Amino acid sequence: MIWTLITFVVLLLVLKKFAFGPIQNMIDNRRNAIAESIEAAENTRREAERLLAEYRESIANAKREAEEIIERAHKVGESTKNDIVNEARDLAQKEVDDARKQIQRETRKAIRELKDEVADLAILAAGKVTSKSINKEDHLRLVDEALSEVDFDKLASEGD
Amino acid sequence: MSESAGQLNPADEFEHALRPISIGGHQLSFHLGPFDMSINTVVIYLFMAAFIIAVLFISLARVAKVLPDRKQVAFEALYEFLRDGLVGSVMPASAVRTWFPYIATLFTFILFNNIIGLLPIPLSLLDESWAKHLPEFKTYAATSNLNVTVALALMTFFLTHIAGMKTNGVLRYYKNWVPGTAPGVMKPFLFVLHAISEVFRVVSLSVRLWANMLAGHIMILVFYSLIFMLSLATAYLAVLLEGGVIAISLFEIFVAGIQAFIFAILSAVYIGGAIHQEH
Repeated sequence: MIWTLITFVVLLLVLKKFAFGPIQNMIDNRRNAIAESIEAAENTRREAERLLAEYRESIANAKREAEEIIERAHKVGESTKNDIVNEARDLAQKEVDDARKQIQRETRKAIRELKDEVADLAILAAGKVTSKSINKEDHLRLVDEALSEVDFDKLASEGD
Repeated sequence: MSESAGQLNPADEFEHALRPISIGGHQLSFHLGPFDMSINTVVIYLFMAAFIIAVLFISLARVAKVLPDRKQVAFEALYEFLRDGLVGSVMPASAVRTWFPYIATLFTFILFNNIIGLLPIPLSLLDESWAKHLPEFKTYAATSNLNVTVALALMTFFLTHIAGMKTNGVLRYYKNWVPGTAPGVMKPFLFVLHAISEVFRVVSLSVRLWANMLAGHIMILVFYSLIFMLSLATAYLAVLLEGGVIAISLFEIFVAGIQAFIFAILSAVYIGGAIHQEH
C-alpha cells in the first residue's frame, strides 16, 4: 500500500513536470499559432474585400464620369449644330429678303423709267401725227389718262 | 508456471506475489516503523508500470512539435481524450487544469498495471540465472491486489474531501452534505447516511477494480491449470483450452481499459462533485 502511494505520487510528479506540462504548452502554442493564422487570414481577407470594394467604386465612378462627358459632348454638339443651322437659316432668309427688296426696288425704277419713256414717245408720236394741234400740256394730260388705264401694278408683279 | 505442473494451484500464484522477492539470493525484506516496505512482486509490477509510463510519455513529450507527426497525433488524441473527454466532461471547467494531472496519471497508471499484468514476465530471472532453472514466465497484475486498489481509492477519497473543503470552506462543505430543504430532524440522519456513502465509495472503487482484475487472472490461470490437468487425457482438449485462454486474454485487454477508465472517471466525478456541490 505504501509502495503504491509512493510509486503513484512519484509518477504523478514526474508526468506533471516532464509530460503533461510540455504537451499542454505545445497544444496551447499550436492553438495560439492557429488562432493567429486565422486572425491574419481574416485580416488579409478583410483588406482584400476593402480593396475590391474600393476598386469597384472607382471603376463605377470612372464609368459614370465617362458617361457624363459623353453626355455633355452630345449636348454641346447638338447645341452647336442648332446654332449653326439657325444662323445659316437666318442668313439665308436675310439674303432672300434683301434680294426681294432689291428686285422690287429695281422693278419700280424700271416701271418709272418705262413710264417716262412711254410718255415721251407718245408725245413725240402724237406731235408728229397732230402737228402741234394740241399743246404740250394737253398732250401730257391725255397721256396720263391713257397710262392710268394701264395696270402697272400688275406689270410690276409680273416683273418680279 | 510453478515447478511441478501437476500441483499447480491458481490461488498460490496470488499469495506468492506478496512474498518479498530475492535478488541474487538477498531477500528484499524491509520494515520502516510499522510499515512493511518489502519489495515483492506487486511492488516490482508497480515500478515497471510507472517506469514504462514515464519513459513513454516523457519521450513522446520531448519530441512534441507544433506540427505533429502521426505518433504525436495519436498521443495527443489520448491526451485530449483524457482532458476533455474524461476530466472535462465530469468536472467544472475551473477544476480541469488543477485535477487533470491526477486523473490522467490515475488512468494511465491503472491501465498500464492492468495491461502489463497480462504479459508473461520472467521475474524469477532477478534471483536465479538461466543456468540453474528455466525462467518462470508469470502473469500478475498489481491491480489484482486489494492493497493497491485500496491505496488508490483512499487517495481519491482524501483528495475529494480536501478539494471540497478547500473550495467551499470546511463548514460549508460539510453543511452541503445535507440538502438545505431537508426537515431539521432528518438532518443528522442524512449526514450520517452521506458519510457512509462517502466511505463506501472507497470500497466500491477499490473492490470493483480489484475483483475485475483478480477474476480475469483467476480465469486465465484456471484455464492454464486445466490444460495441465487434462492434457494427459487428450491433446485436442488442451488446444481448445488454449483457445479459451487467448479469448479470455483478449477480453481482459478490454477489461483493463474499461476498469482504468471507470476508476479514473469516478474519481473525477467524486472530486468534481466535492468542488461543485449541489445545494
